[in-house]
Amino acid sequence: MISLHMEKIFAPGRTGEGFHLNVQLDLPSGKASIVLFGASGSGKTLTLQCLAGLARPDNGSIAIDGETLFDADRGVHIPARHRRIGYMFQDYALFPHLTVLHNVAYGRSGLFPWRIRADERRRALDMLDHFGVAHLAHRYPAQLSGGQKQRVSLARALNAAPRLLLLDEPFSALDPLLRLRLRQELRGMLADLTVPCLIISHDPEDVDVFAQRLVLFHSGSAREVQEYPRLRAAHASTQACLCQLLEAAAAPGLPQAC
Amino acid sequence: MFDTDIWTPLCITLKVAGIATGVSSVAAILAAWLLGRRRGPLPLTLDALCTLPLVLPPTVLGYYLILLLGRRGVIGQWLAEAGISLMFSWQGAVAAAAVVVFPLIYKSSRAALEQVDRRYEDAARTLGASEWRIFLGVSLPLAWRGIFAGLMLAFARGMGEFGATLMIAGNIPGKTQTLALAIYDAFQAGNDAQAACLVLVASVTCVGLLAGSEWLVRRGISRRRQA
Repeated sequence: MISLHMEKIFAPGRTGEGFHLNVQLDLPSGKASIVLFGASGSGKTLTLQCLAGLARPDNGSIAIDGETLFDADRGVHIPARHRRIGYMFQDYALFPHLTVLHNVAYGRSGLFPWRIRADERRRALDMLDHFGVAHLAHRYPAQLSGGQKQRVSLARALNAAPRLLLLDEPFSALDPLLRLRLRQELRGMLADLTVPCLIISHDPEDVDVFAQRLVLFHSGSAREVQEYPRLRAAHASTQACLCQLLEAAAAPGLPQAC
Repeated sequence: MFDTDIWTPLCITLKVAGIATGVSSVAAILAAWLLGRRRGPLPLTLDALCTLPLVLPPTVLGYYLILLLGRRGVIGQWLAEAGISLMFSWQGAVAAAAVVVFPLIYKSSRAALEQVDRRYEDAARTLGASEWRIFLGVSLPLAWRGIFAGLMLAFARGMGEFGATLMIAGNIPGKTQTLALAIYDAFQAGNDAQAACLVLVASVTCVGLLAGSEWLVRRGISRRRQA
């Protein structure tokens, strides 16, 4: 069970309006991939960052399978490095100064990431091989295509043996035609995993392909859509289904997205 | 003609500037890393202190260093008991130059480290790396170009150090007399030919250093692109 009950408040500043993130979610940590869907700026990324330990909520608590990662009242804040939560960044954030091999081995390397033990080298190569990119091991990230970067970044996150994998807009850095193909590829790769996945997206197509469960974000608050697959089946398209859900979520009087 | 001894002051200059840059760089880069991402009154004050040698006249720094390192100084007393005296020695010149070049390395390292995209550091965090590992394996290599530029600037500045060096290490030919001091000496003594010769040596060395470091940086970039 992934239990997220937290708030983070940004006071209105000179440059922008304030933002209030209020998330109360209890998600199963089974194999099902969960999509967090919402417009840009609705708090999806911030929620993932809080879960991964890269941002600190103002109050509330976060726990996975009963293990508390954050608790404002008890002053608990486990640092990101001890959380074992894999994170795939929007444009993959591969270390530009390291080869693909050393990127993948980073989570298991010593003080200097360009020096790795023989067994870690083999393990990283196996991981690359699993994603069909072992031939790229000695290239640098700048020499990879978008799809190759995605595979390497997935290999890097999984090589650190996470208990949960977070994917932040996995396709936004790609051009549209490639996106179509890679979506199917990534679905295949994720289906083989034993690690639960949280995917955030503002693209209905992603919801269509990945969502076994759906969480809807709307201006800082989130709620899980109950029995999403059944609801989806009752609509002609994912788009129509999401439109209806968003209309219900939006406060009356606000302009509608669709 | 003139005294042909150009090599001695040149060697002293290179030795003093080199060691001073080396010693200062470790402290300055660590300070830049530690202070770079902290907010609050204390880091702000420390930042100002780290930058101070850049704006204070070198003679003021020399005065402070004498208070600190002189025979009756806070550290000097303690050093004297161990049988070490920095006053009027080349090690004293190193101390003076190290303080003078510190802010140059500190400022450029801080700017370079701040420019490293935070996502790389965040990615390393989610992969289980400690802050120290992230600094050594990710931040530092990604910021090295800016830091290297700062080191070169510091070395060149260290070569030209005059005021603080004169106050602490004096102007002892063959011992603490650097190029800058030798030029002043020769000029004061009316030995214009020697002064001109030393000026030429200093200028050529500095231009060579700056051009050489630029070349090294560019070569590094093109290598990474090709690799």
